[in-house]
Amino acid sequence: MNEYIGIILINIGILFNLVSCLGLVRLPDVYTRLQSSTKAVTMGSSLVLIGIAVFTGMFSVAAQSLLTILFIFVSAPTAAHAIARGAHSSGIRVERITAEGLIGRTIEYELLDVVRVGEKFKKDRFDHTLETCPIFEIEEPIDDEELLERVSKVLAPRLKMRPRELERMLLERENEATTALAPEVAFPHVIVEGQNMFEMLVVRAREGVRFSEEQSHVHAIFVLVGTQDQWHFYLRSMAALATMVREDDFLEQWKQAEDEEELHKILLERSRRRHLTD
Amino acid sequence: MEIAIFFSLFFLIVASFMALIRVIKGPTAPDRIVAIDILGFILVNVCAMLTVITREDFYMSVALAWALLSFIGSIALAKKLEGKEFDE
Repeated sequence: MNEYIGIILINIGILFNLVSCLGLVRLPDVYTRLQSSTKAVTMGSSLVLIGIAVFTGMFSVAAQSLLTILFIFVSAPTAAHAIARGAHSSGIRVERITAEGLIGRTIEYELLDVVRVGEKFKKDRFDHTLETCPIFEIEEPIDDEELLERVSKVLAPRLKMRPRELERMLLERENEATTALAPEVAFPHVIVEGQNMFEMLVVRAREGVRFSEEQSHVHAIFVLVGTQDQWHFYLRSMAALATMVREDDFLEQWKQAEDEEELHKILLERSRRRHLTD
Repeated sequence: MEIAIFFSLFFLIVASFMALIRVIKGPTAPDRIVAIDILGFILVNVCAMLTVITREDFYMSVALAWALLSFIGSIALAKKLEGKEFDE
């Protein structure tokens, strides 16, 4: 009888072990793997050891298995905590796991969303545009014509236009009056034919883009292209961007950002602040 | 009864292979350390299961010692991960 109870306990424990190892293989990042595996293994090992003590019925085995259980209960959480701490301080990030389609974005966005809900404001269309707009970086120093050519190549397919045509329109607008409105910031923009289209593109130039001889090099470029019926939103976006870049530390932060994700984050945070001061 | 013991050992081996997969695949150092930690626990269970098969109680002592050692190993690796030396 004891043997049957023992073997049942052992097999339940091993089921726990198996599930925890499954979690180790299947889950997306260190922290989730830790949390699935260490807890289940503690439970599983304890069950196996109790089962063995019941199965054999020997006093020495029972005593040693109790000691081992005690030790595992102390050591497993300690080790897990130390590993999590080490992983965190060596700079491992938490994977976003709530929605499959959004993998690649990190927990910071999620926190930003939480803050939004907490402060009771809704994301408006401009926030949405900021989140989805493409950002790219230019490492080498170039002039405005080359910049507009590159920008047109990216934006034209989204607007169902030919790149050459868009480039020509942007250049025409540029020649009428320079779009480098603030120091080190430029807003190339143009109204195109069609309906219900609005696209924004953000460029960060590390070495700067030369717009004209007398002005300083431009590091942040916001390209806005919209159709006539989006006129209202077009102007509002431009105004919002102007407010955001006017803040003192914007350019500094912008130049120091490491990658595109960080640039996105800067824009979103600025946008949030804009809401709070409205 | 023997079939039940055989199956439990088989599943323990399957579990240890799963942990080994994570040790090999990585991709980061903490992933491997977690997997090694878990592998240690699974091996403690295997040692304990040997007690059932052989009816010898000294395998339990092996299991106890193994649990102690794998704990020290995990702590040392975690310390190293934090960028500290072992005696800090």
